[in-house]
Amino acid sequence: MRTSPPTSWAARVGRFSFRVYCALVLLFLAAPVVIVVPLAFSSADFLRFPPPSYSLRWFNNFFSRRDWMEAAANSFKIGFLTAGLATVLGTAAAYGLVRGRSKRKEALYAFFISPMIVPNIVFALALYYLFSRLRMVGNMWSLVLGHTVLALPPVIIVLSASLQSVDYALEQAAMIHGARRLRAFFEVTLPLILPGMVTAALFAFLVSFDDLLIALFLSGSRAVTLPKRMWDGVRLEIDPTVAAVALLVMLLPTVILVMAALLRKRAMGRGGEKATP
Amino acid sequence: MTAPAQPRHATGATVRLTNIHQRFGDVVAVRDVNLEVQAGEFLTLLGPSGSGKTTTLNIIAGFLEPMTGEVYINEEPATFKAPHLRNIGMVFQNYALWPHMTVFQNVAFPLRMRRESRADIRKRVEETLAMVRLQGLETRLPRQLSGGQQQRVALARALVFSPALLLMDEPLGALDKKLREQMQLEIKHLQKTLGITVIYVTHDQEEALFMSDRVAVTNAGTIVQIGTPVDLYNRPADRFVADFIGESNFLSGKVQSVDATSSCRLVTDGGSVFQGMLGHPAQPGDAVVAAIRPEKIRLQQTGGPSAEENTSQGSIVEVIYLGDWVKYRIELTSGETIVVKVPDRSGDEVHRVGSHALLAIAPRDVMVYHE
Amino acid sequence: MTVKGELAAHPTNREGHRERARPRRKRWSLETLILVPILAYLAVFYVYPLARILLLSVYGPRLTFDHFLRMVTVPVYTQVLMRSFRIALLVTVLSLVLGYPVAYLLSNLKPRQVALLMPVILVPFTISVLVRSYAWMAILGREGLVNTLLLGWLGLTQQPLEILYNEFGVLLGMVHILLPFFILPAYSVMIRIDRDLLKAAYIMGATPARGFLEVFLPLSLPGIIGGGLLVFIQALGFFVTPALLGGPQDTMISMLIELQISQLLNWGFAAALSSVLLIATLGGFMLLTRIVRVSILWGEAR
Repeated sequence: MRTSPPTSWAARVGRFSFRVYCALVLLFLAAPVVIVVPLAFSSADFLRFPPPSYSLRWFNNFFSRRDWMEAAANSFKIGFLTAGLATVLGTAAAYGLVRGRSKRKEALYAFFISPMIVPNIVFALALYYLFSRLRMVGNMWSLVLGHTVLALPPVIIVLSASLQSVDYALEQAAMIHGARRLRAFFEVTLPLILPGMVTAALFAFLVSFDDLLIALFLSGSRAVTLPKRMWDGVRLEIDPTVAAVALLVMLLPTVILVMAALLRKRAMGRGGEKATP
Repeated sequence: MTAPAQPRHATGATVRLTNIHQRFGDVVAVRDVNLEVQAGEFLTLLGPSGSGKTTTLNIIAGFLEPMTGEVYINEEPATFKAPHLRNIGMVFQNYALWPHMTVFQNVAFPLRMRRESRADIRKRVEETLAMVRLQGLETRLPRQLSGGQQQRVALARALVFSPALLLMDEPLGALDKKLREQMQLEIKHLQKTLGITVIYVTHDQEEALFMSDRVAVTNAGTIVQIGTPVDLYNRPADRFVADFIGESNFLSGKVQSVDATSSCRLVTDGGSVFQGMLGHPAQPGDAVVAAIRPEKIRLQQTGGPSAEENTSQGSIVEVIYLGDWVKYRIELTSGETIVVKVPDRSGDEVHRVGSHALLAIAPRDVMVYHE
Repeated sequence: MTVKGELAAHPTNREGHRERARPRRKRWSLETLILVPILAYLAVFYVYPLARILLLSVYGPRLTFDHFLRMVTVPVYTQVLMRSFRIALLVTVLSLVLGYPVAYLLSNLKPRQVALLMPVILVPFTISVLVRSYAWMAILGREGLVNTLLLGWLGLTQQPLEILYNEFGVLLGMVHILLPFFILPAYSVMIRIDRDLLKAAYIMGATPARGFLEVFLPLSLPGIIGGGLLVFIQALGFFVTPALLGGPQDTMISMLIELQISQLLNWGFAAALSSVLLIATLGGFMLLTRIVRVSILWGEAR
C-alpha cells in the first residue's frame, strides 16, 4: 500500500536496504528452528554442526530408554489434565467477564492474565514452597495444578474473543422462548464457542507440555516431565538425544497451530458471528 | 381520545406497567413509565434512539429487573419472573436466529422447551412456517436465507407456541423499503387474525402510524403521549410530538389572549396574527411556538377564506415537486418562511417561483405549545 | 390464560398487592457467580503461594530485613541485580531496533502477504524456550554453525569465536526469543494508525521522512512502549536462556534464586530476591496498563 510520494533513486536504495534488513531479522527469527532438523539426525556424539553423517541413532535412543519414555508419558498425561482443567475454569471465567456487567472487568481481566507476566521462577518457587509443605513434590497433580494457573491466560484470551463473537441476543432469544439460563447456554452458546474451546485447550496443553521451571522444582523423581529430562540431558550429559527430542517437541506446536487455524476456518464458515441481516 | 377497536378473537394478553424506573449508572433510561395494553391490541413504542423504548421492552421480557415499578401480564405479577416462564414470543432486531440450527430446529425450539411430542412439534412447525409462507425451507441454515426470509423465521419461532403476547424490537429496520412495507402488512394481518397482543418498538413514525391501534411516543425515558394514530397526528400533546410525527412548520411568537375553550390568539415574531388551539395551558404574554402541518395550509387559489380561517400571504421562493405532492416554500410578508404541501391533482397548475400566494389555515390546525 | 374483561381501576402500589411484601431479588446473577470457581482457584494456587513467598522474605522466624540488606551489601549479589537490569535493558533496546522495522513493514503489507509472513514470527514463538535456547547452543558453540561457517568454509577466522557461554550469546538468545513480544504489540498498534493521517501530512508538504517522524512515529509510540515494557519485564525474569547460553559470570537474578534453593536451601534470601523480581515486574506491568490498553496487545496476536 503506497502512501508515500514517487521516489528518487536514493529513496529506492533506502527502501531496498530496509527490506533487506527486515529479511535478515526474519531470518534471524526462523533460523534456529531450522537448525534442529539436521542436528537431530546427526550421528556425532556431541553438538557438532554440520553433522559428520546422518543417522537415526538418537531417535532410537529416545524411544528405547525408559527414562525418556516415562518423561514423555508424564508430559502428555499432565498436559491433557491441564488442558481439561484450564478449559473448564477458563470458559466459566470468560463467560463471567464477557457477559458480566461489572465495572471491574478490566481489572479482573488483567488479574486473570497476570500469570503470564509474573516471572516463572518466582511462581515456581512459590509453588515449591506450597507443595513441599503439602508433601506433594513428585506428585503429578501438583504439576497439573501449577500448570493450570499458567494455562489460564491464553485460555481466557481465546475464549473471550470467541464469546464476544456470539451475540447475546441469541441467548436471550432462547430464554424468552422457554429455555432456562443453563439450558440456553448448552443449546446455543456452547456449540458456537466449541471451536474456541478446542483451540484454547490445545494452547493450554502446549503451555503445560513446554513448561520447564515448575517441573524443575516439582517433578521430584516420580513425575519427571520431558522438558525436565531434556534439561538434565543438556546440563549433565552432552546428550544429542536432546536434539532428537527437540525436533519431536517442535513438531507438536506446529501441528497444534495448524489444527487451530483449521478450526478457525471452520468456525468462520459456520457463521458463529452476529447474524447479519 | 377514542377507544381502540376490539379484535374479533380476544385471546391476547393484557400488559400493565406501573411506575417503572430504570437507571444505568448516571443515565436514567426509563422514568416513571405507566402503561396499559389491552388484550389483542397492537401497541407501538415510538421514539428516537435512546428514548428508553428498548429498555422498556427488555423489562417486559424479563431480561431486566426495573429499579422500581411492577409489570403485570394478564394481571399476574411478572416483574421478577424469569423470561422463560413468561410465555412471550419475541422478534429481535437482528433476528437472533441460532446459526447452528436449521430453520426447522429454530422454529421448533420453543415447543421443545415445552416438551411437546415429536409429532405435535412437526405439525405445528409446518403450520407456522406455512403461515409465514416459508414452507419448504425447513432444512436450510439461517445464513442461507435472505434478510426477509430470516425475518419470517424469527416471526414463526415467536408464534409457533401460540403465545398471548408478542414483543418486536425494530424487526424491520434492516430491510429495504418495498420489503419492509410488505412485511408491515403481513405482520398486521397476522396479528389481527391471531388476536394476539403485540408490543412493537420502532423509531420509524410512518411504520408506527400504519401498523398500530395505539402509539406511545417516548422521549428521554418517558411516554409523552399515547393515543391512536389519528389523535397523535392531529392533536400532538407537545412540541416534541408535533415535530417527531409527520412534518410541522414552527413559528415562534407570544400569546396575546386566551379563552375558556383553549383557543388562543397569538402574534408571531414577524407580526402575523393567528387564531389557534393551545396544547397546554398558557397565559397572555407567554413565549410559545405554533405548529402547523404543511398539508393543512390551504392555498386560497382553490377558494376564498372562510370566516374562521387565519389568512396570510407571501411569495413562493422554492417549488419541490414530489410526484404525488408539491411542496411550496413561501416567504410570508411578515418575513417568516413556511412550507405548504399540496396534492398534485391533474388540472391544477404548479405555481411558479415568485408568484404570490394567499394562504388559509383553520384555527384547529394551529397547535400552540410553550417554547 | 383467561382474558380480563375490564381492567381494574388503578390500584396504587401501596395497597391491594399482597406480593409487594417480597423484597427485591438480590443481584447475584449467573455472571457473577460463575466467576467464583476461578477466583477461588487462583486465590489458593496463585495468590496465596506468592503472598507466602513475599512474607518469607521478611519474616521467618522473626521479622528481619537481613535478606534485603544482603542483596545490596554483598558485591556479588549487587552485581547480579545490576547485570540483570542491564541485560534486560539491552535486550529491550535491541528488540526495538530489530523489531520496529519489521512491524512497520508488516503493517504496510497486504493481508495476503501478512498471512504468509506471520507464521515466520508465530511458529518459533510457539516452540518452547528450552528447544530454541538449545538450538542457539548448536549455532554458537565451538563446533556450531557460525564457527563452522567462518572457520571451515569461508576461512575468515583462524580460531573458533567464543560466542557461547558469555554475554554475547545470552543477548543473542534472549533477543531471539523476546523479539515477537515486541513485534506483535507494535504491529497491533501500527495497523490501527489511519493512513489518511500520513496522506494529509504529505499533501501539506512533508517529505516521507518528515511524515514518518512527525506523524507515524508518535502515533506508534504506545506500541513501542507497550512492546518494550513487555520485553523488559520478561527479560528481567528470564531463566532458561541465560542459564544455557551464559557463563558463570553471566548469572542473572532468576538463576541466583534457583541456586539459593536447589543448592543452599536458603529460603529467606531466595524469597527476598523473588520479591524484588516480582515487584519490579508487577510495577512494570502496572505502568504498562496505564499506557496501553492491555487488550490491544493481544488483539492481533492470537
